[in-house]
Amino acid sequence: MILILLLTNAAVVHWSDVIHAPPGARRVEQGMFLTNLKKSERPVRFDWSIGDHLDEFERYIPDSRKTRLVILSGMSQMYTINEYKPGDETISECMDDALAPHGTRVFGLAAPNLSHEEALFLLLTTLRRPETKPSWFIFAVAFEKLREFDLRPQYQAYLAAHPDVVAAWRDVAVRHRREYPLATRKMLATLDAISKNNAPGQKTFEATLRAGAAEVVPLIKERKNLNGHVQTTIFNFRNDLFGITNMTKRPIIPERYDTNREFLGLMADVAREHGVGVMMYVVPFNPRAENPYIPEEYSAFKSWLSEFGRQKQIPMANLENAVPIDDWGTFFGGPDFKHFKGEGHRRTAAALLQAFGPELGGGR
Amino acid sequence: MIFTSYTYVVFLIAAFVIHWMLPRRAQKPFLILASYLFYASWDWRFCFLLLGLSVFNWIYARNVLAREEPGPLWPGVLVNLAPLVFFKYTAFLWANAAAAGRLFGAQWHQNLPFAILLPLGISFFTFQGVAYLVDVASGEEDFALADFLLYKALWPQLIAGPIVRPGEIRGDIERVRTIDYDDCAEGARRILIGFFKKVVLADNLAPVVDSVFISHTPNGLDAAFAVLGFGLQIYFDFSAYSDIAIGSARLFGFHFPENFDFPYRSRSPQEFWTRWHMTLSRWIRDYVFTPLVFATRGRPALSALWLLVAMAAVGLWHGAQWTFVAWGVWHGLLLLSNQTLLKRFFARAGESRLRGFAAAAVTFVLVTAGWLLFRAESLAQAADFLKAIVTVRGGARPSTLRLNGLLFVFFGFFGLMAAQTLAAMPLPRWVRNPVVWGVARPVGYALLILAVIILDQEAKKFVYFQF
Repeated sequence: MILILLLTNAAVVHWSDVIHAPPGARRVEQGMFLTNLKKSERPVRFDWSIGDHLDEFERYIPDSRKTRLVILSGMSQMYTINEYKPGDETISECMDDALAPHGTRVFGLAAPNLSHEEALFLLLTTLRRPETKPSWFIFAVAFEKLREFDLRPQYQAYLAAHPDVVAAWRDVAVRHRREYPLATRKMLATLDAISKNNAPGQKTFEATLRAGAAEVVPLIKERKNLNGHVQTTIFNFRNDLFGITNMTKRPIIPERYDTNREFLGLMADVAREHGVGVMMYVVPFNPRAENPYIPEEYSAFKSWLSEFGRQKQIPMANLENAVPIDDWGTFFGGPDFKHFKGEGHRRTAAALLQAFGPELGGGR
Repeated sequence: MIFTSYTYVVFLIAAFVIHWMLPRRAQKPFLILASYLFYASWDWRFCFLLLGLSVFNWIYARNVLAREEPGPLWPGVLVNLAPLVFFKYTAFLWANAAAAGRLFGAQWHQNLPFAILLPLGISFFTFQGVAYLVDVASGEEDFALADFLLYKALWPQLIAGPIVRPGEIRGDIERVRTIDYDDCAEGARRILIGFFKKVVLADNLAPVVDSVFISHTPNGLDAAFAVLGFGLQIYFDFSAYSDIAIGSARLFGFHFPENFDFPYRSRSPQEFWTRWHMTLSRWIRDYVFTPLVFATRGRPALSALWLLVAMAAVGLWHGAQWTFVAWGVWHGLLLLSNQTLLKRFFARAGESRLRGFAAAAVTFVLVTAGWLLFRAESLAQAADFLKAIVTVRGGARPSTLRLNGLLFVFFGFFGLMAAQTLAAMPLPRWVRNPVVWGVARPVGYALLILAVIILDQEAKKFVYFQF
């Protein structure tokens, strides 16, 4: 048994390159730009860690006491550039280029499959300090994200380490309990889970011990990456078993859908309470790729979103058709449903400026 | 210090090495010290409560109960129960008194005006203390002070059992223990299995189950899978704790009683309680149910009532909520029906495979239905979940759970069923071949260790810690 474990450790060391590759690495091999950047080569204008080290990237947010600040938040479309070419920029970078001369700076806070609960969390983290409190918070709405909720472990760790954000989170959940019962219930459950799993005083020693063990045992060091590989393998097995592809039609999950709609409302109300403007846009689609939405459900959602924007007086834009066919990339030989090339990022930024430019202070 | 944390692994290895290196006369004091260190890692203040109760029980047993003319038992029992009632049930009693007061126009606030921290493991060490006093009063020899302090504090059983009775461990405490290869091998095996059940199975089921129980209006499919999933989660979680407790104790030469024996294989509710949390059910039988029946032995009709009372006490012991009481009463009713309405059905389970399967299936469904009461946040939520399941709300479509969650519970259920069926069968001859067995066993253990390291969700607390 010991021999097997020693061999496994040796294998982990030998295949560390493969293990280190995050789930998105295959996309890098396919010519996609993700976040493998060097800070010396490019100014930091979005969270390069895509949610893994928010603490580290907060200090790059332009000081909102000196300039108008726009936070652009959403999922992987915001920072993934298909068929990347040097000089290509992400949506937030393109917008920052255009608005900085007018005294408005744009910073991107995005993460893979960012949920609405996480978007609210990001909003609350920016509100905690005057220098990061934005003038505008733009959120990219994607229909399939209404199937998800919860905070990823990295954001949970951030929350656990920042009592002021916890207090703000709890305050929002308690005050808005009546208008948004589902979302606030979920928020309190998130807090409960975090407090249960982060016993004060113990985590530090346990974390130190784990870090020490990771220094000595390669298997422990790589456990999270290996976990990711195991999860991906199981996920792929599930897809093969049931014939699921990224274009398979997936019905909404009613309660998750309702909860996520409430999170959008909470986002708008919380921002308004702090004097922050909220804008939302429906993300672009690849017209060549079949999306996984059931048409009636998607159509009903867009109607609801439009009415929601009107009621809450939120500037809203529909960018579904903002990126033409040629600006979308491919993924594993087929059209990519969500991620476009550098030109797509420029077009999306231009469309956002077209829709929201006057309010953002940058003209059209 | 959670059992499945790296901290505990280091603590256990250090304690093991130091203990067996020490001269024999120093081993007991060392184990007592290590146990208090373990308890202090949660909250050092409650060490005084544990020590105070231990010293009281020892003095009371020796000076009052073990005399030639023993004094009364009840003051000792009351002193043990008082901290439990104060720490665990004050808020519950207050809230119910406030609710009752409101009926008569009183304006009491439902919440206590002050917070009460619950000492970890208080339900377990209270029951252990009561067991000691009752057993000494019944003629069991009392312990020497050091032996008793070790009996009360020995860390593997301190937080969540098994509830070890004096007679079950006296031999190990009083004998000269020597390091034994079989004990160490079995101990390590149990610990590894416990880690696997907790880290890989229970901790990964928890978010699936929780996502439904925080939801507002689950569909029938969500509710059914959440209840089934919770039945699996609590079994893996609690039996994992018992495995690690029993395994840890074995490393030091202590043999704790078993606490689980494939409970979901039971073919009647009565059998279930001989396989699920066995040390608790024996405790309740011997220290609550039997004395009540004995006290009213002239009126046998009352024994049904005492059964319900005893099971309601089991429920209340788990937590100060009406949902737990309802869970206990539900099991009391199951046990009563086992002796009356369904007696014939369950009694004939051994007549054929089909009857056995039917009895096991019915028992499983009834027990699983009980988990709804156990897990629900309120009786209203339990009623809503039940309604969702019975009316098949939403048809075959989930409202909350995703496909992954449904599949995980589905495979978890069939995996457990397959494991307990295989465990009841003799190993095939080809597996017993020394070469095959010699290779398969270490490979199996290595795979379990790999799974525990890779699929670790970073040391989540055990469900039973709250009790």
